[in-house]
Amino acid sequence: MDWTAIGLSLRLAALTTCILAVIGMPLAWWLAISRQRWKFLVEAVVALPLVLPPTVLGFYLLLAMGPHSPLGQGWLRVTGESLAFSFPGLLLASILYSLPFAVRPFAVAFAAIDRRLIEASWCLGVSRLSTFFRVVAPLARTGILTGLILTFAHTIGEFGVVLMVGGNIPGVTRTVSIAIYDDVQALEYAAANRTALLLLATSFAALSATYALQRKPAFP
Amino acid sequence: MSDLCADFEKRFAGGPSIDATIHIRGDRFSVAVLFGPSGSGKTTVLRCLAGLERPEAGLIHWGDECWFDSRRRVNLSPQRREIGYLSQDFALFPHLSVAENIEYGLGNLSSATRGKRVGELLDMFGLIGLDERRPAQLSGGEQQRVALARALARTPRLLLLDEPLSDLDSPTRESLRIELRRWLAKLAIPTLLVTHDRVEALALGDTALLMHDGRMLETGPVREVFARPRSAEAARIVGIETVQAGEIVSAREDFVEVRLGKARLTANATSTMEGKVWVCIHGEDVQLAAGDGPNRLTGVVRELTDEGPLVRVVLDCGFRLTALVPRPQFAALALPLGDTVTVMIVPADIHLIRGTS
Repeated sequence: MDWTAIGLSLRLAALTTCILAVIGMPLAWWLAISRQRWKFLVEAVVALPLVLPPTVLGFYLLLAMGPHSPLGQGWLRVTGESLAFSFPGLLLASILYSLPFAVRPFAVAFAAIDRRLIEASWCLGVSRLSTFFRVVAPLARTGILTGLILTFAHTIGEFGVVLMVGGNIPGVTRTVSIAIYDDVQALEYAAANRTALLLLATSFAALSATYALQRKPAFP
Repeated sequence: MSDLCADFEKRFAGGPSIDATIHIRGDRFSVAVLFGPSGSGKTTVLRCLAGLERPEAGLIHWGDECWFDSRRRVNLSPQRREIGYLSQDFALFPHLSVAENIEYGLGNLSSATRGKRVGELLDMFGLIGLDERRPAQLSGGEQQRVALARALARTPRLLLLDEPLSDLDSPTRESLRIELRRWLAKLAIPTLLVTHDRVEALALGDTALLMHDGRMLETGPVREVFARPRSAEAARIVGIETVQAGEIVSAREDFVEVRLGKARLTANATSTMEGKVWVCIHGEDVQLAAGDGPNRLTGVVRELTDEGPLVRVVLDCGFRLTALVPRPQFAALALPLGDTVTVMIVPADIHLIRGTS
């Protein structure tokens, strides 16, 4: 088994999940309560990775990270390294690609919270941020957990975007799904099967956990 | 001197606009009742005062403190208005226990002070022994008391109550109505209470603000507003059973004679009036089969409606007159539909409103 690839995938998934928890929650909160007229545009952008072929997203990300784009140039100037075919580049791609898997469950859970509870909290003198942590987050915890599990599982399993943006550098950008692809290409079916089974088991466990969470009513 | 002075306008896209003028004294206890039919904009007014809704134009001041000013673009957040606001469905936090709900807004106090304050409120609202329960495990009346305790925990400067009793079943509502007035008086916090229930308004309020279709119709002492409204519209909203157009035909000293349909009535003249008037008669002031006196009329029974302790009798006396008769008296009279009965109305009980032609 390719432990380097497994370790890399776990690191990538853990970091993506953490970062999406931080940026996904405010974004989902805004989507849940905003009455802005152009909100639907943001919703569409967030959901785009669900329908877009990974190669399309990967292609544009590659262009954006390339040495001729402002992002690629900026990164090169600050870090002295290229963003494309690097771990930070892969992380950025993962965050964008997994965005809907975090934001949508968050937003659905936030929207389900009775607005009057939030207003009651404000009228009791509790700030908006504090209200989020003391009322919104505990009441939306099932949705938040679902989003985090889905993000993690989705990042572990992504292939197309990783291949486009990350390439195939062992220990840097070679994740489990790429390792399986390589094994199959090299006709090493036994090795491919071992890794594939592991992925299958993790995905199944993640989805089972998600559905089990949703089955249980939060407050009977 | 810190009074609440509010004069603002709130518009809804494609909907009605709401115009509110409110003055509540902040230096002494009094309950003001914002009364009006459903959909008249009462809740919106309360939400604007709480800072949950932003009016389009106008001013809201608490003493020298500006809460809202459309010209100066001031809109103080609900957090900074230091009010107690109770929405109709109580909005208790479902994931917190009774004690945690009450303690929720006391973050600025030390833990010992918080515990003491929660203990006081549990005791005052008869919630001792329930402090560990979740809101879902409480009855409607208990939830209402927890919500009130939570709103009062921080000793707000002004208490805003939106239909505080309407979500409760009828026996609970009646017992809580009496207690609510007692709690409010004990805490001595100026209160603005929204209701569409006449009994609630009379039992809880000191002053009344009548609202209809987004406009304030009338303000004054609650009994005065409900007994002697100043317009026919207000008379119908406060639920006076008979409001009919009539005409003054003669005036002599303290009395006036009014023609109403085919009938003539004598009423006390409170001010100089002539010509067209609105005649208002409360159902409970119509006496059926009474002895001699002025305003003796004969009527035919047209409709009978059982309303529990009272029976609503609609009579044709040459005009449509509604009487509310206590059940034992109604049983003694044994009136069938179509029967003829004599009625009497004391002249002082007939309220006249200057009419428009």
